[in-house]
Amino acid sequence: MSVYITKAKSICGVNTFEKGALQALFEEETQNHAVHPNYREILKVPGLRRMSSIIRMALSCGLDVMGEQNPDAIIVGSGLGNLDHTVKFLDQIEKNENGGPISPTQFIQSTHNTIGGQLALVMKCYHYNMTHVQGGISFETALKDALWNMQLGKSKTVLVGAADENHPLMTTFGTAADLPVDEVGEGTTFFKISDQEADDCVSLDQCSILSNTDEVEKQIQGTDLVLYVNSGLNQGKMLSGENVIDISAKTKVYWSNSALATHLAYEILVKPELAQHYNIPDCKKIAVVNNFRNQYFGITQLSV
Amino acid sequence: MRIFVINTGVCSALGNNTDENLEGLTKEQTGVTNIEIVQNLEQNFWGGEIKFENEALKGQLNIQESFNIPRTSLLALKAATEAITGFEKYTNDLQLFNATSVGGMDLSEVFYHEYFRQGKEDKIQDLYMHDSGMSAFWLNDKLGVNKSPFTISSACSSAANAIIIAAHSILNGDNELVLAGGTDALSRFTINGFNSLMIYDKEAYCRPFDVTRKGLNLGEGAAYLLLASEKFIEEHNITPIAEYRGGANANDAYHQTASSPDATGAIMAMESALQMAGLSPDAIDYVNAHGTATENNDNTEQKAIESVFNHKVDFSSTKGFTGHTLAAAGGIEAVYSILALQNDLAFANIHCENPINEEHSPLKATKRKEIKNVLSNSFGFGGNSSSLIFGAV
Repeated sequence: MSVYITKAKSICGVNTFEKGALQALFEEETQNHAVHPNYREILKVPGLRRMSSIIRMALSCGLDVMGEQNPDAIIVGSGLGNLDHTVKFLDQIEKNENGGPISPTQFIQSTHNTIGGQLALVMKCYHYNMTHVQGGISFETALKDALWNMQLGKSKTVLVGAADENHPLMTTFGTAADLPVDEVGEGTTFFKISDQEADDCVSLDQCSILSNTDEVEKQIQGTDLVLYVNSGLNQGKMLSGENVIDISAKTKVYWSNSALATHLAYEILVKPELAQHYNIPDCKKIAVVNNFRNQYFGITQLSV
Repeated sequence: MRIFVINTGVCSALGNNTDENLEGLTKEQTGVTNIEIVQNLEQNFWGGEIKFENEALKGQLNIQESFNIPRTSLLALKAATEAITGFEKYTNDLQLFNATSVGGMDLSEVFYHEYFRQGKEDKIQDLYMHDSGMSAFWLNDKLGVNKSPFTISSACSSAANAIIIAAHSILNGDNELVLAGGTDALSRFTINGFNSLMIYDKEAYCRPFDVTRKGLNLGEGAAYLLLASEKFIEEHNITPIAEYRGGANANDAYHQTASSPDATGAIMAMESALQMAGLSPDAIDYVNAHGTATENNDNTEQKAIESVFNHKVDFSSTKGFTGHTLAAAGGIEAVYSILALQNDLAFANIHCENPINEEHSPLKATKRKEIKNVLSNSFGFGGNSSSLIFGAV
């Protein structure tokens, strides 16, 4: 069966939410932290005040791509989950050595599937709801789950995406481990995927996760453009070729950045003038290659 | 296409492997004790604790890594090793579907304790395995598995969901053999978390479906099912121990942590699972309930079970034996469901003296009967509701 990406939305280190497209990725320098829209204006949901920025980012993008429609499944990927709430709960525990009562809010919000749960709550979606936490390949595992679900006929429309945040504790860890922490970013990307074509849709041909570069090179043969990202630090560039563009600096490095790269691939196919940035005149097939630790490679292929 | 269970692996407060867990269940003796191993707890808690410290577990598993391994990962390897015993030659075909909510938190929280109080970063390297995906990457390495793993984290329904998604991969023809389940260790983080919600019974053993229940006891453990397609077992002449007949996930969409009074999510999950299995409710001989002993869950689940099964089915929660093992629960209880099928035993719901509904109470004692189909429930935060159905072979 055919599967299509019909809508996409991202919040990342350049202002993409309000500008409505990823043009900003070519015009501005990507920051280490997300450029947030005014959530109070766009998110009219109960409990907004208690939500950390990762939940706000995810809700904004997820609700935006679905609009009035209810999906048949909600599937979310996140490498590190809700770090902000997790650390805040640890702080609360530490401050509370006498064992008195602690507020449960941070604990509740720290659960990995809070994003998926909140999306379901706001949209009143009673259907299949999954959260994938597989490091730098969290997005691809979420996407595979979505494709399996659709191919079994269980869903016609799926809301699928990924989110990760850049938390100060990560900088502390990264610095102690001698990692280039200035390359770290954060962001959220959500897609509406469907078994029906629509305006501005792109074919989602396949998503796979491979373990060696020979297989990767075989898989991407015949594509016009390869958008390559490192989802981890200090990985080098594992693929060569004139049409292989390393956009890790553009997305910045975080465990969900292949979702942003996939959004960029979608945008290029929908707005062919963006392909001029890469000197590829007739760009019809794009592969996104996500290198995680030089060990696992997520490959998502789109075409028009 | 049919999917079969060909082996199981489990460790919990009841026992270190499948046989020991069966023995504990039939003895009707709880594995819940005073929690001793978790560090820096502010007060006393009961829980289904596995009485081996991390060093002892590493010794049993012959771990010689230079970096520190979180307890969640150690328990996972223990159970996963049992599950693939006898089938090691097939690891090239295998894909792992893991589940965890705690991840490496048992080490991370010890680091954070020193970091917060004294600014010490001595243990910062322990954060390397903090994230929930690391157990699966590490298991892959230890078991010699090549295919990239999956890790599902949906709170208390995580392992059940890992099994559902693993089954989807087989139904799509992408896998013939999968290892699916979950793991979670006890941690100061989760103990304090459930205590902050005021649903942790600190005074006594948890009492699922009892009107006097005051909340859960947490537990720890890991469990995996080795699942294979019909084609695989025929090709390799393997005798299955049970059949995976179906599984479904639905969402309550009512509240972040509490389940709805009309049990929407729970009923949808059970009915969808029955539909997928092609079974009517009266084909189910035993329901292994989620039954955490919180006021909210057991109310909702009692209502859901009565609704779906028209007020008549043998059911019990086995969390009185193991405590609530969070992301591992769906896996451990899947193994218990399979034990029920293999041994024609519906397990007791221990510590329930005054059931919510006398007319439809959980099993007070182990019941010997022919068991052809078992349904197992797991309901998590975020309205996440999952039901699995296993059948005898």
